[in-house]
Amino acid sequence: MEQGEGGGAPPAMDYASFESYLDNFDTQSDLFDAYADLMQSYDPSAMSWGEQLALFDPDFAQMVLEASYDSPAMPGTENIWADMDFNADPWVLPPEQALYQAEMQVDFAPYLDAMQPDATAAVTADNSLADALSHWNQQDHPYSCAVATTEMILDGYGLDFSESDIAQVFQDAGIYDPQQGTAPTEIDETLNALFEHQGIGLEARELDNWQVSDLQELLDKGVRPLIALDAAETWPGSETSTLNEFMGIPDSGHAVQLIAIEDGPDGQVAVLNDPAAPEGKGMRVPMDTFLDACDDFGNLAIAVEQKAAGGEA
Amino acid sequence: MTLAKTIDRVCKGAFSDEVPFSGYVPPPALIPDPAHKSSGLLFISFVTARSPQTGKTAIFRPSAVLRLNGKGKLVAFRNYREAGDQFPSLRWSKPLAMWPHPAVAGMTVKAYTEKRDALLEMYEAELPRFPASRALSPGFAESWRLIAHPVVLPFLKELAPHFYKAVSAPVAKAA
Repeated sequence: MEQGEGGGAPPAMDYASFESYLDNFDTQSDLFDAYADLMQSYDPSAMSWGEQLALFDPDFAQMVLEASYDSPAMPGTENIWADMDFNADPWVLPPEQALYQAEMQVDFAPYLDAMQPDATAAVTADNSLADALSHWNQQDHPYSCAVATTEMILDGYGLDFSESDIAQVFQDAGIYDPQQGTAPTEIDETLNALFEHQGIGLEARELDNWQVSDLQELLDKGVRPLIALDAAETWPGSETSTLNEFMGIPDSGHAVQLIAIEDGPDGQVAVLNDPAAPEGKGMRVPMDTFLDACDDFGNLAIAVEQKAAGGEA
Repeated sequence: MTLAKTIDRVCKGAFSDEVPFSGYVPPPALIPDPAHKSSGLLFISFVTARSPQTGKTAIFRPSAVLRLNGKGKLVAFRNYREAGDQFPSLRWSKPLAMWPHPAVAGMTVKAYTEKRDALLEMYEAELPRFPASRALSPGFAESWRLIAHPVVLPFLKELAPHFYKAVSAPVAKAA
């Protein structure tokens, strides 16, 4: 365990005390409700987190801040809860059934017909790197990486869907929740339903356990796939930035667009359009790092290709 | 696939298309299985949400639990939103904690992931020992306590009491 800045070992954890402390509550929810109320009312500009906890219960403050944690400092000074309404509907998450057991019975007409009258125009693809870079777009919401990546892919085919349009399509299909993200293995079915409805000559397909040669083959055809990976492994700031500065939990899944594989002086690099970071346009990641990050999610990719004359992509 | 890789994928929600299991998933607890002289693994999935303005992540109550056997095969899954909620009085809309916990907040992302990966590699050796000893090696317990967010502890007290007791055992101090 790491040591505090003041030198010397941090106080030893005392979980026996913590356990006996929990026993003081009639139910666990009593404790959690009290703790949640405390967090909700916490104003960092008024007092430190430790002081706030001590007001709540000195014993709890002692055990949680000084025993369970090495560093009692609550980082940051902004009140992160200021923009939240804890009683608003968005915080009540939809049933899992509705989210994950998607039925392809989406009525696209209400918004798509008005939105994209020229969607049936001939789709084209330019497989130059400059073109790929021009379609980069930073995601609008914390969990909309797959939505934003899909927007980049379709934009590359000259289809001017906005991120909010695609988010609506994915939400209606039950595969995207702004609070949780997108179920990646349902993207191909959802997009194919959309393409069919709009008469767009594209077809999406899922690749599992892809090899680098599969990706290279797609790129050679001007197809830039969505890739599922662990963003913490590809993020350029991972060696210098702290967890407190990292947006989200490192173990969470992420979606990016692969736009090229290049040979560099230190070996191959994957060139990505990462929608999460301001510097995500054309981000270059060593191939070994990229492959490790993708392996965590079973080398999953979604490719959108032009349909051949016979109907096959 | 190694056990560490399986644990890694479950924690990262890589199987969330098969079972609704994503959000914050701390390193799992061991569940002793004396009949097979091994242990199972209990994973808890916590709901998370990020502030649109600051990007900070809040941790809410558990949404599901999942058990693997010692071979890394799924043997049980319970979705608290559907049935069998073991914490029915906990509201879904209230945050319980904030990520990251202070013990790791100052760590670089790379250092954290390396320590976390090292912890996952230790599970293989802990599994066969736990049913008989009901104890964890000091290195594993210390590493687990560092990496896992403390919000998981009260839930483990209920769901995995043997592991809770073992991971809570006082750390032996050098003379």
